[in-house]
Amino acid sequence: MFFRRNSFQGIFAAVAVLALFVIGCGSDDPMAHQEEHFEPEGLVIIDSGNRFFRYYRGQIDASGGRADHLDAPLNEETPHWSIRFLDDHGDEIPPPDDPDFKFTWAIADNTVLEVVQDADDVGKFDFHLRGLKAGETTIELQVTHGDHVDFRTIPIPVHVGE
Amino acid sequence: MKFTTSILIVVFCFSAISASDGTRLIEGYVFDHKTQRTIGNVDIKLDDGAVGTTTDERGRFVLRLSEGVHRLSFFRVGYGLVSREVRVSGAKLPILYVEIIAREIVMDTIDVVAKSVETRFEALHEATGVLSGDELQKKYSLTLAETMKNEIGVAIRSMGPAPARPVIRGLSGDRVQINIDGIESHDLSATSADHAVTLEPFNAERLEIIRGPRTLLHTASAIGGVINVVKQKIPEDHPQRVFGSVGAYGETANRGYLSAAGITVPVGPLALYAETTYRNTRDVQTPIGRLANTPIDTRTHLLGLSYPTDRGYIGASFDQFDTQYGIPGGFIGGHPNGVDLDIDRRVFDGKAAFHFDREVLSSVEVDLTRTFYHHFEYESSGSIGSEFLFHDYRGDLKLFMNTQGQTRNTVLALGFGHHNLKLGGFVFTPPTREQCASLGLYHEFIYRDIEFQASARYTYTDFDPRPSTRSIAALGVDRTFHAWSAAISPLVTITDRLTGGFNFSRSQRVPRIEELYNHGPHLAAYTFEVGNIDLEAETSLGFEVFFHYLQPGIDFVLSGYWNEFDTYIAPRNTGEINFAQLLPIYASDGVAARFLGLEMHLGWRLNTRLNLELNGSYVRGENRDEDLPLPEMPPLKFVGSTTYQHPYLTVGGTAEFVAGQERVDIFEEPTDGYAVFGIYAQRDINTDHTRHSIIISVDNLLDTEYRNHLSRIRSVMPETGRSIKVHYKMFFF
Repeated sequence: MFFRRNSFQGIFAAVAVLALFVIGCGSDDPMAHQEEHFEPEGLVIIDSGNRFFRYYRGQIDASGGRADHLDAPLNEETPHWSIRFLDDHGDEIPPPDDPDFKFTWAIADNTVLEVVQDADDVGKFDFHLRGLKAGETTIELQVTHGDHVDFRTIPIPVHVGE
Repeated sequence: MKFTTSILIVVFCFSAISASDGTRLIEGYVFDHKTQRTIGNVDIKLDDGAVGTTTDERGRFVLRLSEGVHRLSFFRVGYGLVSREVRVSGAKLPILYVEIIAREIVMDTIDVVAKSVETRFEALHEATGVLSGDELQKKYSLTLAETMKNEIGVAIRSMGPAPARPVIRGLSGDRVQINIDGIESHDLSATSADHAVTLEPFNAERLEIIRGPRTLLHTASAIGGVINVVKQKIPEDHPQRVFGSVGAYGETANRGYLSAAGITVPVGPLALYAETTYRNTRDVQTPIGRLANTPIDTRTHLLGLSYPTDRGYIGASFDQFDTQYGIPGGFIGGHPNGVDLDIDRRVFDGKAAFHFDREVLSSVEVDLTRTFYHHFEYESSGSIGSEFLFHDYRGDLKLFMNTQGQTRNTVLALGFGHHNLKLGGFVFTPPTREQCASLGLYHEFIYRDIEFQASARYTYTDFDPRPSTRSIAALGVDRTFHAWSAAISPLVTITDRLTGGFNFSRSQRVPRIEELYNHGPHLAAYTFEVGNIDLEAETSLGFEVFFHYLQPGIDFVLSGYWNEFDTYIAPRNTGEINFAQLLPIYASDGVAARFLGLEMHLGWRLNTRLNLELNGSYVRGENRDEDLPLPEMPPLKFVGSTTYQHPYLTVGGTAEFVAGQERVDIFEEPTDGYAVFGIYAQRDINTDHTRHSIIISVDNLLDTEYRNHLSRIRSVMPETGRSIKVHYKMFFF
């Protein structure tokens, strides 16, 4: 056999190997919970109950007299707009109520347009648009989950009129 | 075709010239007895002084000798003079492996050992698939893939500098297995372009690419080959005294550095090996600017202990690899803000070998490995985006049969594995258990002057996904695979300078967990990935023809291959997008595919100081179902290098010529060709107890803007710009 009984080297080696094994084990660290994404396939924008803008599966749906772009008045705010989302059947679903999900946006030209939220709407899916100068730009509407975007629209054209 | 014909004509002309003079070629390699590294510039002479040569930077030499018994002497500054008797007779000659010992050892006690009588297969392997000694130091770079990028048939898949992984003959993922000391290195680098290989090659003694039937001793799925990194984590021999190395490495393109130390110590009858490295780099500089979020911070620790005896050894090692690195963002196909990754991998390895020398059984090797792997992907806010954790248990038993008659080597290999993958964060792959078992047989024999390698392997694999909230995973579909692989390769000595052969193989690769069960966004890769629970094992037939011409000063290898896949599994851009995140959807599917390729290697020693080397490789991948090119195929590449060895300084230059890649899959962009150049200088300083090696090199000398076709970030950033590298290593003994 490799080791003589009671030999110092044998004990040293056995202890060392055991130590290496224990160190090498690692632990079943508590895992971050496997989380669900919020994955709608579209949205509608509602103005006083009127669903005047619809975006679904990567395209703006201007059928039925709906708008193919958004209008923002110069130096004024639009009325209070709310967002409802669309699932993979095109049915409306409410925005997520978990505070980890936030409404965010990306404007191509911030000198033309800004988004305004009422104090109690911050992070929620309600907003106003305000035109800063006459012109055209685009806005991408997003649902941000933690630090990543779970949902985003294509850049939606916005016209700021005089 | 004309090019191939011309090469063959040249090869046969050389062979015709060589066959006429009635002498024989002796080929061999010289190693340092302690470090087992090959040694360049060793003077080799016949005792009568009539014939002489020196080893090249790979420690290789070739001598022409007449038939009879000769005595060769080997000498290098810092080492003792040793001699070796060589018998030259018959058409077939062994390859000599000679070890020389540092000067302070008493010369009377030196016993020069011929390491083994190897085959022409080994000669071919050494010529085309091995990096060691000074050559390895010279080519060492940031990652294993970068270090091997100019080897024949090798390309790099990357997504920033850290997660680079080698691609061989256009095959990637786990078709190319990475081993450390013959045992698979388990990590997630094969599963996604953003996952790093958890291996630091700085202290590697040797990197080798194993191809042909021998791959089936390691895996059924390595159609591309097996990359084996030799480190001797567990010492197999008892060291006579303390020896080791201390090293440092730095490069300007990332303002990074690495420090490393390794030592082997005799502790009574035991042998102890310890190693540590630390690497820190910042963002990579390209010719058009900084590639943001590409720093790397890596620590490795390794401790190995063994009890070597005359009849074998038993030992264990602990190996930790801890790295943090960034994946760049802000481009199409990348996370807008980039992602930071943190990987902790710990490996416990127990190994034993015992030599019986019985009538049937020659020796036995047993290896038990436990791997713990924990991997986080952080978003820029610091929140955990994805988390992967697995425990992996592997066991291998190899029985080496006694060589009898014409049989050179027979190995029976049994293996088992248990893999338990858990996930957290915004991850979509279900937690899955994988069990596997394998039985392999490798046989090497000679029949009428034809050397044969043959092997076969059966692998059983079972996947057991657990319930998850995501769609495919919720189905909890178990899958079981029975994979059969076999290969045979004869090698014929056409003349004493020219050998030729072929390799025929049938291989089956079992799909990965991700290829079966994925369904969701992958944030770091910034793709929406869809698996396929109906995938069958990836079956391929491979045929390769090769020629090896060897004469003093010239070493030429030419090979052509044809791999035919029934079901080549690849995540392909479907051209569709996921409507929630507007991510491109990549779906795993099996398609009929064909890989055709050509490779060549020419080593030409013009005189005792000047060497030229040229490597070339080309692969053409076709999706036969849709009559389209396969995605991410490496373009035609030639790498030339020249080395001038002065007794006090070795200098050289490299040139890399890569053609543009116009053959692209749908939704894949072509890439322009490029040429980049590099230079280097190396100085070795030997004393009685140390050897200092300093290499200074400049990569991408002209600061050329070029893009790697296999880089996921090539659309926004080119490869690394001009970089000055300093590599220092001090061996003590």
